Amino acid sequence: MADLFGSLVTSASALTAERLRMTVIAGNIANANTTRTAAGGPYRRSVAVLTPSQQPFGSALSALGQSGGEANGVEVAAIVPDPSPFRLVYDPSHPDADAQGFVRYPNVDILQEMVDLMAASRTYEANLTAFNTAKTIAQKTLELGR
Amino acid sequence: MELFGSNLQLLMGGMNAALLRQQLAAQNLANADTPGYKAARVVFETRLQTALADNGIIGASTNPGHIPLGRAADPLAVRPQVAIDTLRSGRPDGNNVDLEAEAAGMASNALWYSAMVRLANDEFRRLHLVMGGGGA
Repeated sequence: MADLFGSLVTSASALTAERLRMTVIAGNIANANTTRTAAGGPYRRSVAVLTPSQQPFGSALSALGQSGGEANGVEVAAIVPDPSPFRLVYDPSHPDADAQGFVRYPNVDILQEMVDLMAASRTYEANLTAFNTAKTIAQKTLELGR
Repeated sequence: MELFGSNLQLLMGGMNAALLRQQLAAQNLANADTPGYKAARVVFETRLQTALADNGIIGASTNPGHIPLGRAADPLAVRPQVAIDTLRSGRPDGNNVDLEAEAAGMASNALWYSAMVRLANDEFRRLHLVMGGGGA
């Protein structure tokens, strides 16, 4: 027996995850030129890592005795720093320039961030559509026997 | 003769499959950006069709150990199965969720569900009519 509200929970988890992903991307874009952080050195780009999650309820698959499909939603497993090297820009007049006159700028690529932002935004919309479809189905179910 | 005949039970089976399909579409869309995730699908209609197909000769089974001949299985006992789509994707992250296919499948699934709710309601209405002696 499939769960009527399971897909709502699944879609909601995706909306949460995609929104957090967008927040992380926004943080990267905002700090694209931050050369000084509390930890020292320039800002390091963050990446949100998505992973399938098991919802506590609405596990229609396990109710059916199916294995291999336990994933029931999505969550941000971790927000990890990007280890790629910093951008070096020659600017001897900058207060954070090194002895050779190079300033280390964050390893944020605005183009990459914009593409990721678009992808996250579109995925958010797709999940919103899934949520609304599940709602329509639930409302239809209430019409049974009328 | 049962009050709630096999028509209604078949519809309930179909509605359950539609609910599960919506659940899996939501799950696939939720994991549209999860690296390595493989899409899950519902296999139901083909199994039901196989069960409903009349293959000419139907062997009588007088023993539960008999292999059913002709009719593959009891159509009312057909349950939706979840299959993982193991097709490789062209994406470098190994994910094979197709956003457009999922959205389209979800829309048609919702319509299919509405149609089944309507058919079930028609069935209930007929029962109601019969109970009222045709006058109600």
